[in-house]
Amino acid sequence: MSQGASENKERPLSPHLLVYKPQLTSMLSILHRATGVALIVGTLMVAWWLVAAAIGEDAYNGARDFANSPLGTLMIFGWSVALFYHLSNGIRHLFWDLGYLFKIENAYKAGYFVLFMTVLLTGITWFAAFSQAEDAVPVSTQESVESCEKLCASYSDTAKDFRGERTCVELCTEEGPCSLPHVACTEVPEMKGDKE
Amino acid sequence: MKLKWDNEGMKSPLARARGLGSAHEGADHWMKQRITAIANIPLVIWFVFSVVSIRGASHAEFTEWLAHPVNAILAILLIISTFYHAVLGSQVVVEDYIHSEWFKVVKLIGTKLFFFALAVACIFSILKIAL
Repeated sequence: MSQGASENKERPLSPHLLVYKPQLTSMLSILHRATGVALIVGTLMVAWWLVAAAIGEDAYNGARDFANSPLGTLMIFGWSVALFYHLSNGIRHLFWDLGYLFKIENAYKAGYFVLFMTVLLTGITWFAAFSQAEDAVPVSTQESVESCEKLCASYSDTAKDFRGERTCVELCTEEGPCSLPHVACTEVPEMKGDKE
Repeated sequence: MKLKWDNEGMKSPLARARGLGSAHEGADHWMKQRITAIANIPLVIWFVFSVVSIRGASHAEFTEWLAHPVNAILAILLIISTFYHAVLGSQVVVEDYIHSEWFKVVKLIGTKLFFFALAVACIFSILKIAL
């Protein structure tokens, strides 16, 4: 073959990936691998999170601050998209393994459904996460108990942490201003539904 | 020299093929990938719910949450199942795309050692917090 190539570089090549028109089925297939590889980065974040929590409070706060930073949030967003795509398309693959969805039209329908589910699940997850953090107080940036308590004054006395256990002021004095979660002083979320 | 299959004249071709590929593993890899995939479905859904509900928690709140036996058990199952699935998946990717033999072997062994170490680190951390 190398002999032929040296004789005539213009001779036709056998078809390879780039000469095919992109199709939904082939694109979703390669995307399944790409998201699978991307999810490995997600496992690193899980490991960091768990090991940091085991080491102690400072390490845990470092991991949490990164997760809450713009870069960390972007990475977690990408992670969630990859996770929901790989989950949805993985179920599509399991249907193939059972012998279903082999007709071209069904493979396409399931492919569009996978994309729909990816968007839907990502949307629901981030909506749930943000509706919980509504009115969140950026307490972790407070430098002293006093400034933390001052910030708490803008919230009602009945406002509790996200578990509905402690008030903002209690969190300020018990845990120290810098260890407060950024959602510490929100109202009890409606979705928890177990209070009153 | 007597070959291995010389003694297997009584076996049908199917029996010879079954479970005796060139790697002597048959459909083992394929099956393990599916089993971990099925296990991952409920575990990942639980994981997403958990991350959303404990996001922003303080260290004390997070360790208290993880110390609950149900959460600790599900977290360990999640680590084992997803990491195993990741090893199997990345093995296929490496086998498909890396054609340099020595680099492929390095990547395959490295991936397995890496994920094993990562899983041990995660499970130890969970147990340290939970126990």
